[in-house]
Order: sequence, then C-alpha cells, then structure tokens
Amino acid sequence: MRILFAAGTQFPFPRMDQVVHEVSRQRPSWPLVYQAGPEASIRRLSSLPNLQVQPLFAVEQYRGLFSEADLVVTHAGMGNILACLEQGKPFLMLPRLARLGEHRNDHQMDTAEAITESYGISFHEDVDSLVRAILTYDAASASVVDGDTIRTRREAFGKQLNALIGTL
Amino acid sequence: MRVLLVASFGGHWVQLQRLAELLEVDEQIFASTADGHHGGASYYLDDFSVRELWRGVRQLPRAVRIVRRSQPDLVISTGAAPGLLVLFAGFLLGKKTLWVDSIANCRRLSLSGRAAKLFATRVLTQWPDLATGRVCYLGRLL
Repeated sequence: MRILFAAGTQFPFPRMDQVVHEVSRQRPSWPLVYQAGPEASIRRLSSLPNLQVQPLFAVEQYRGLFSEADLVVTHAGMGNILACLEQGKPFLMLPRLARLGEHRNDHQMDTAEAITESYGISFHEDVDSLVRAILTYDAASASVVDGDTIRTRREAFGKQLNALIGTL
Repeated sequence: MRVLLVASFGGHWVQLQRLAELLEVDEQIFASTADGHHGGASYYLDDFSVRELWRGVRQLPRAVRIVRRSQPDLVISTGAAPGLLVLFAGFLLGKKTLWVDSIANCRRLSLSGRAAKLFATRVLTQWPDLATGRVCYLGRLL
C-alpha cells in the first residue's frame, strides 16, 4: 500500500514521526511518503529505506504524491481534509494536541470530531491505535464520501455569499 | 466588483480558493504568505500568529500597501492572522471587509475571527451553532 503522511507545517509533530517509523519498520515493502514539516528531525527519518521524506514538498510535487497515494494519514488540518473529501481519497487523522505542544489549541480535535460526525472518517488519539488502523486498513470497506453532498452544499453557500456581497 | 482575497498558506489558503470559485465578481486578486513556496498570489506577507502581535503590527504598512495597490471594493479573508491584518488595513482605508471563519473552528470562533468582529463589515462562521449576533451562518465549504 502506498501511503502519504502529512504532519502539517506549523510546530513539530513527533508523534507523526513515530507513526511513520513504526509503519516503515513493520511494512518494509510499502512505499511511504512523508511531508514532515519544517521543524521535524529529518535526519533520523531519511535513514528509512522505504520512505521518501521532505520537510515540505513543492506544491506540484505534493499534488502528484497525493493522487498516487492509496491512503493519506494526516494531522487534522483543513487543507488535507478538504482535498481528501473532495477527491474521495481514503484517509485517517491524528489531531494535534495542545497539551503535547503540537498546536496552540485543540481545534484539531474539534475538527476531527466534526469530520467523524459528518463523514464517518475515523480519527486516532494515540500512535498505537493509528499504527494498528494503518496496518489493518482495508480500502475496500472504508466509508466512501459522497462528492455530490459537498458540491450541493457548496453551491448553496455560493448563492448566499453572492447575495450577501451584492448587499454590501 | 474587484475583490482582494487573503489567507495564509495551508488550510486557510485552500478554503480561500474554494470560496473564490463560488464568487461571481469581476476581478479577484490574491494575497498570501509563504512566497517562494507557492505562486498563487500577487502579494505576500510573512506568516505570524495572532498572539505575536508585534510581528503583525510591524507588517501593517505592508498590508496597507497591498490594499492600496490592489484597489479592491471588498476584502475577504478566511484567516489566519495575516488575513486579519490585511482585512484591518482594508478597514482603515474604508473598504468593505468580510471575514469567513475557517471550517476548522466548529466549537468556537477563532481568536482572529473574534478580533474581526470588532471592525469587519460582516463576519461569517461555517457552523450554524456558532452564529450569534454579528456572526452569521450562510453555509459551508464541506
């Protein structure tokens, strides 16, 4: 399975590094890609033979890696979540937590809960549970997001927005 | 109508682009952060957090310049702090301003969004439960 991991770009996220390490160790034949963020300790990660790692991939390259991935494992950041939902890409989330210094506050936890509620995508609160979910991931039985729902919602929002702008 | 759209790179930027696709306006001009990493915007600021007020204040002249040069009728931001700063510059120059709080904030309006409430022409949340008084819900991107 080809997996893209995305840690986000603000603040270090060593728990995601751990997840990547674990998956790399237990599934040496899987090609893994990791956008680790500017503050990650890339040197330790770059010794993993089945991993392609960068602090930040160029936008175009990232798009390519994203579309090639069978599964995306991401922090609960809106950029990746939006892209995954829009493109029907299977994904798992590891929300960043404020108490571990991974973000300023716990809005990623809120996001993850809201996405789980609306779209049935599961999120994980600790490394072990996420690693288990990845190793046993079954793309065939994953919940499929309906792109039409998003499109319809968005069009309705657009109509309201344009009406509002017209009155300003 | 000419609209200046501002967001920092990352999730805010992705939401700004989706929002821009929905707008029926004559011209769209983009401002963002992380120049050198993406070429999607015409103007750039340095990224900062709303808690690092001094870094923001230092860039206010730059934000004012962006608004002056782009001459928008309306400034829209989806966040975060750099978007708030340009929105504020728009307010100072007498432009209409619209804050669309990130869909990531589903339990509470972001700190930048709460600050935008103080001066923005309109403030939108993408979660119906968060709509109160000056904060409206008109729909969401997801």
